[in-house]
Amino acid sequence: MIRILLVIVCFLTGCAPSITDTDFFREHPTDPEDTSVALAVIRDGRLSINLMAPDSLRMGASILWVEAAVDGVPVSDGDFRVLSKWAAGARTVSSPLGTVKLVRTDRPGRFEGAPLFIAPHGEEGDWQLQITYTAGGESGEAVLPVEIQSSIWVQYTDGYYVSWVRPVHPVTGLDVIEFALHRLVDEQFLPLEDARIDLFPWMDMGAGQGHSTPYEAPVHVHHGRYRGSVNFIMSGGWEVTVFIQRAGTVQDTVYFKGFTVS
Amino acid sequence: MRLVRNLWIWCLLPVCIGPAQAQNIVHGHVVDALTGTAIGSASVMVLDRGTGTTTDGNGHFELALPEGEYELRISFVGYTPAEFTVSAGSVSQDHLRIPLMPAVIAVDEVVVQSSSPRINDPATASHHLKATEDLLDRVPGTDFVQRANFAWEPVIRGLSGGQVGLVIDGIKVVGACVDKMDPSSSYVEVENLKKLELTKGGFDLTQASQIGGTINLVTRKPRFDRPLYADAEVNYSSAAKLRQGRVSGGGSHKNTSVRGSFSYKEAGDFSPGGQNPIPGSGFKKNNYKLDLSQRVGRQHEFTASFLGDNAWEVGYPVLLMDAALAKAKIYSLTYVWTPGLHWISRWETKLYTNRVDHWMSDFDRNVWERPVMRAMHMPMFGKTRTTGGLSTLELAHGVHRLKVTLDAYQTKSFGDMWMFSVFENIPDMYLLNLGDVRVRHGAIALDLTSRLRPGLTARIGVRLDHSPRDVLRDEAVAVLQGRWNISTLARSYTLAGASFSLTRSIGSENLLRLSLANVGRLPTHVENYGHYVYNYVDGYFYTGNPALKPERSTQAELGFERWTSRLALRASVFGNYIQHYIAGENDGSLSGNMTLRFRTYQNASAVLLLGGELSAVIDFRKWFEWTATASYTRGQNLELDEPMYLIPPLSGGSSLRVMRDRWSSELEIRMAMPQNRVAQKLADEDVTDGYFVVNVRGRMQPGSGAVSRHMEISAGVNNIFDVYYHKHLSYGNLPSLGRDLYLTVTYSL
Ligand SMILES: [Cu+2]
Repeated sequence: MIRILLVIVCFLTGCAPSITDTDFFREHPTDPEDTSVALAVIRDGRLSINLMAPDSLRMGASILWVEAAVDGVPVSDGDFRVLSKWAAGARTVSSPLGTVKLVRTDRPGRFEGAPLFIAPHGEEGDWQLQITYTAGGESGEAVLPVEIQSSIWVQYTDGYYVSWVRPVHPVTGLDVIEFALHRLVDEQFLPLEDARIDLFPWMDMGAGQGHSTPYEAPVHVHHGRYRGSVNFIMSGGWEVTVFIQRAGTVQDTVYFKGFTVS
Repeated sequence: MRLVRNLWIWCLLPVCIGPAQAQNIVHGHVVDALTGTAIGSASVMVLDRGTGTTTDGNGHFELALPEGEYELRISFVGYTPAEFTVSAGSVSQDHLRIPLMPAVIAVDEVVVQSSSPRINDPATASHHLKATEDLLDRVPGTDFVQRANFAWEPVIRGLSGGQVGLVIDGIKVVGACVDKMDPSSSYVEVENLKKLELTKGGFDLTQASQIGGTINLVTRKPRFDRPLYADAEVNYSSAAKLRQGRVSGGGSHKNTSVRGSFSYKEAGDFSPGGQNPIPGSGFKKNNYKLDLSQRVGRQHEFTASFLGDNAWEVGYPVLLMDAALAKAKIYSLTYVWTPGLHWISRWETKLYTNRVDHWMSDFDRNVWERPVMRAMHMPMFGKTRTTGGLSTLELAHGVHRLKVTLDAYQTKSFGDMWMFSVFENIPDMYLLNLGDVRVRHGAIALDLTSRLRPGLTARIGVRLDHSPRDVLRDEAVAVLQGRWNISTLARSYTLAGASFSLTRSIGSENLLRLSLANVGRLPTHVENYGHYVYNYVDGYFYTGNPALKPERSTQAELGFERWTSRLALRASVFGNYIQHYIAGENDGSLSGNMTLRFRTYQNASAVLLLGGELSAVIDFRKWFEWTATASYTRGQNLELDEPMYLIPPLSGGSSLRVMRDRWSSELEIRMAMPQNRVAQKLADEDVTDGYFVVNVRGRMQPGSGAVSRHMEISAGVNNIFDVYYHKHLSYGNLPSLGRDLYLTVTYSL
């Protein structure tokens, strides 16, 4: 009797349809492909330095990796600094955020940082990356040409530049958001420290629908950098409108539009 | 339901007993459990046989039964019905002392009796039961939130969800759907329901921390009184083209017994009164249960239970989504010790675990046309995992009875959704509705009943709950911490509640009851930690609030019962004042356009609920009776000075019932007055018209032949006049079924 019932139950258990997550979320995005790019290799004695990036380098803050090894063994200690520069003929303009020190990551031998690539508005030129290193008993400096894609992350308005410094890759949840405001005078970006900034983050859900998300307006911290926060409540496509009010001028508005929050 | 105690004996039917066997006389003595005094005129019923008797003036009764084990149900006005298993023919058990506990809290106990319906009870349906809801629906003061023609969510005196305690054999099963499509009452199919115990108001603190009432669905367990038994039933109902079949059966051998059941039902699009079928309103569902009981000696009994339920392709035409699949698996292990000591009467301990999974989709919908979340598909998934234990010790001392309950469980909940826009340029959107929310809950409840003096019984209940809770998934933590600007979402609640009831007998026919309570209920996991959860009542998307305070209720109830040989009358009035009432408040930190609106849960307001219920049965002949019920609840939001939403209007029913040897029939009216008291500030609730529906039903045993005497046929027409109506608590004004012809054939062995 018990056996018969057990058989019946086992049979019946299987008679409801089953849904696996992949069947159900039929448009479920697959894992992102590896988009990393190799930029350059520097060899100095037994030290080798692979300069890489998770994605093609772009205007604005862009993540850069250094993978350093001595005789193929990843180095755990090292000092790597990069400075991004734009050049046209004899004219060279350095990033207003200066030299960026790369920090060690969880991956052995990898150091990471996000230098800011910013160019004079409307001008053609080339990009260089100056890298200074001390690792594996060697130290030195190299200047490498790099390709930089245009992007939404640096906006130009009314004679000054608004750069989105961080988050480089916005994620769901509370993100510290930081903008840098600069004016270009001759060959130098000078900080604008007198602005009042407000934001409006917005998600366009299509068909005219959309919603905002909680945020705190950035305030000036130092050298033209303004820091606030945005709490992205879901992943997907977002845009952030930045309202900039400077003494004695009309309010300027720039849009960072067309990025996704993961 | 206890409603008719000394009355129901009049209409018990002599049902065939089978081949002549040696008859054994079982003697019993029914006494008051607290005082030991004899209870005369108590009803003694042999369950599943339909025979019975009453006790004489000294509380004694005699039953002639063939050798075997039987389950007796003994009941009397003012006492909690008791069930006892007796062995006819066994020397040790032929003289039974049966103590009945005074019932100090009003318990509506609806007993499911497949073969012999109790027609003189307004709450018992004398027609066939399509679902457990049919039974609950007849208890005055009980209503349902209807989201589809499927899995209605019980509402007691205008309260529901986290405000009421809904359990299956005491087991907590937490729904996995953030839209509450899966109330656990839908997991107990009629073939597995032995009885349901329902208390209104926050007076019974043994089941849950609650302020609205409790529902315990007591399932059928293996029986030891028959070596082999089986039932089968097929049913067809026309309005939803519902086809269902159920089989159940089991067997016992010495100290081992097993019972199993399976049912399947499938409904098509249902037709409301006078209209074409509503597209996408059908469902498919199966349900299975297996129980194994083992007795060890006379004192120990172990039961391992499994209950499984699957529903799929469930259409929710008035919601944004359909349920693609809903699965529940409930496992438990129960140990009962009946030591036969005079101070420990019973100790029951249960360990359980259950898992609920829920998938919703709108892939079959025209997403261009809907006003909310237009032009996107948004599959949703939810799951809960609950594990817990429940232990109840019943102690006796003189005129005092003490029940000590330890109740502990943990639930982990997860829910997420994708949004896939139909536009190529809109990237896929994803969010966590519940990011691994962990709720731990521990409680101790004491329930003391004392006979103060003859005719006066008091009951005191106290309960202490402790519930730490947190969110475990980083992504969800980041969003909620950012929203509330707090460094931790962890929260720990401690909550105490107390209730007091006094019952006074006035003469032998009347009973007066006063109940008072000051109790609380904890926020649900969604109210604390939900994210972007759509509320169909007000049309807002909700964010949970980790800082919510528990709702606090102060309530009182006055009850009156009268029992004579021809009349049973029960009436109650209640008031329930709830502070820290959890309701939505507009979320200033989030804005949306079109239909995207945002709220958070806040302890915004105080509310007051007032109301009452009435039920009556008049027995004209042994075979002819009239029943009537009515209930009313008035809910007022005191802070906003407007009516509360989802409050049922004045409603009731009445029926005339005839029951003869081989057949029974019923003419029933169900009606509701219009509900014009609606919420306009907290929600844009619309008024609802009244309705008046007439049903006729019949049931017969076709014959006494070898096959036909095992058969029963029931048929009827619900909503004869094909009236189009919807109930006030149905979402999106989803109409109720139109004219519904049904035919059911049951075969029992
Ligand atoms: Cu659902």
